[in-house]
Amino acid sequence: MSGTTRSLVELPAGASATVVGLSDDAEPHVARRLVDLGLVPGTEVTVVRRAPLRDPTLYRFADTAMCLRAAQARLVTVRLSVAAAVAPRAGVTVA
Amino acid sequence: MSAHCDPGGAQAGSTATAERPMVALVGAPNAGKSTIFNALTGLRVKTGNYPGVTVGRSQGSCTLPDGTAVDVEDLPGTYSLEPISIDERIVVDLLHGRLDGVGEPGAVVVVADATTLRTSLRLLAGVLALGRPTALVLSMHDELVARGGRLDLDRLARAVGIPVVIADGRKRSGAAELRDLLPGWATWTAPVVAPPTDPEGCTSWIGSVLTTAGYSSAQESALTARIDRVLLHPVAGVAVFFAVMFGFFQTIFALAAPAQDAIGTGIERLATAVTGTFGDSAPVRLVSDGLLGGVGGVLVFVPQIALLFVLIAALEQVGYLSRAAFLMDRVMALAGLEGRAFVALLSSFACAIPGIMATRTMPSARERLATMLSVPLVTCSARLPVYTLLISMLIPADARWAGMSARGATMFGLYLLGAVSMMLAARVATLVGGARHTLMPFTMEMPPYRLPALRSVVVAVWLPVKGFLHKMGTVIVASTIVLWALLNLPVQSAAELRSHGVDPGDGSAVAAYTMEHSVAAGIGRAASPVFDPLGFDWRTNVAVISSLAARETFVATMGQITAASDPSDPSQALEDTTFDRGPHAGEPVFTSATLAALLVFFVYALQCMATIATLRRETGGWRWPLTVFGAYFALAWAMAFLAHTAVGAFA
Repeated sequence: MSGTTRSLVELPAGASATVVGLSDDAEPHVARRLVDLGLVPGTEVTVVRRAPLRDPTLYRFADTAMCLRAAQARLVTVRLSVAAAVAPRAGVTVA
Repeated sequence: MSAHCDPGGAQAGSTATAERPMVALVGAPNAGKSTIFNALTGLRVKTGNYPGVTVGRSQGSCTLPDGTAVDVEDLPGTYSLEPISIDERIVVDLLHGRLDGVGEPGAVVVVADATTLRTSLRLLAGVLALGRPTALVLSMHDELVARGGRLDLDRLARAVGIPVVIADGRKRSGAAELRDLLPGWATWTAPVVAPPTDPEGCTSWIGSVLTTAGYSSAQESALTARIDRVLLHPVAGVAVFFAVMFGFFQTIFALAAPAQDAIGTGIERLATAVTGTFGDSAPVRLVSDGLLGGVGGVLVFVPQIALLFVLIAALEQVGYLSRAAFLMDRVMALAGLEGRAFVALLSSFACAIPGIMATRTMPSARERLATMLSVPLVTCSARLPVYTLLISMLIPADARWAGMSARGATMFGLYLLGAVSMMLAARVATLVGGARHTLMPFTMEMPPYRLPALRSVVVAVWLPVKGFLHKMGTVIVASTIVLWALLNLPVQSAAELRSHGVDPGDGSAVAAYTMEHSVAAGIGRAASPVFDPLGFDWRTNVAVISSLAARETFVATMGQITAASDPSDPSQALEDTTFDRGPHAGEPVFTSATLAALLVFFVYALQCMATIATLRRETGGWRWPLTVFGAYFALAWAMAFLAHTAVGAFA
């Protein structure tokens, strides 16, 4: 599957993508924190929803629902995963 | 102390410097660490701050099945041992045993949420690298299973190389397995080789551990997803948010009022009983007015604090506080704060004291300090009687601005001024603090909705109430007595009173005369050079000084000084008040300019000993309370001077 890379902040709500890496702009301590949260290459991220004033955004990755501000989401480079973008979020369908 | 619990015999070179061995609880925020801490320690808990910082500290003790006791330290939540905030620095320093004034931990217990184990294993890898006896406690294991996930405990224990137990802090017996495990901490198994801590190595270690343990992730909670679709909805979610916050505000503002009135009435009856029994002399009044007044001044806050913490604990455990913070984060960002500061801001509309105490839920010490220092500017309920009195004197009841009641609009304007000033002050505080600390990225976990645990709610309410009574009670009682003495000493003899034409039998005349010749009056006159530019006379100065006990005291003191027939409604007596000396003698004191200056002064001045005492406790010293008292006094004076000049020019 060949996908284009983009920043996590550009993804619309409902989209899923795979983490490729972190931007070089990330300050070391911020980058370290994002890694600590599980944003390492290969991690699947789903955009759950944005706050009413567009920021922050709720994401799902590494089995966790996590809010990030755009300032941090901008630093995460992802590759769109076509299959995940089409499929609905798994948990929603489970009664 | 049993032999295997003796720190001297511990493996891996760990030693406890304290008399009792210390067990440190480490875990990510929301891992269920505090509920396990509560299940271990019950109410045998001390809360406070780590030495010299505003990072909250919880310590408790726990008696183990073998009869020995251990100290348990509930460390601030952290995702890793690479600290980027003061709070996380505390965790790392304590685990390394290099935190001044705190012992070295004998054993470390890592608490991990079984449903988010993947994230917690990274923290575990960091802890294992320290080489101390370590155990892993899994919370929410029942939830993992209920949501279709699974995990083999024995295989997980083999994969990580340390003891692994399940605990459910929501049940009384929830920590039983951990309690049984703890006495043997010196002989806990340790991994042969510590896991790698570099990001790539750690990621592959986590993958292999999860595979070995047969871990499969829990499905996203269907119920949570359904509820979130409403509660985080741009329209419905915001409507629910305002409804919840309205109910929250109403509860701490209105529901606490009857209890506070009952306390006030009870104290008054007690005071009357005391003077009735022992006669009305100065030493008796020191007890009946000074001491009992002080005790009443402490107790009156308890209903609000207790209710606030019931609500915060319930909302937090249900999971709604994170949702509220998510909705409000963008707004709070304007003040340089994050969404979680919102609860403190809201509570402060009732009273700054519970507001300051509510900042304990904030994970970042820097933003917590900025919030604590700025919330005293929010219009608290004690300002309300002062505003009501001054506005009624400033603006006629039938005045209309654009069809609205001018009095109501002014009141609204004062609330708005307080809120905007708070946001600006927080902005300044975060900028000043930001120069010294690195900027924290904002990350907040959104836990699934869960039923609150009654035990944890009880603990969450009891600890702040106990802390308030214990630590702040003494300061508030002492300051109330001192203020009473300043306002009522020296005692005027009957002969002295008669020689000045005052009937010693006329209570309000005696009170007015005594106050006019009190130490406080002397201070009020001495303070004239400071307050003259604002248009205050010495009596106003005395009332401003007396309002340090509680802002609403301003109204009663003005009534007493002006010998109003009804001291609780002194507006008529005040309107007739004129300067009794000096260049303005004979002119009315309460001109529009002076009233506006007084109003603005009360918006900014930190005119509340109880708030200062709370700040001292929550920041761990006098430095911050005295700094903000001075800063807000200067700000209040400057803004009042502006108001006096501006209104004086138009009037």
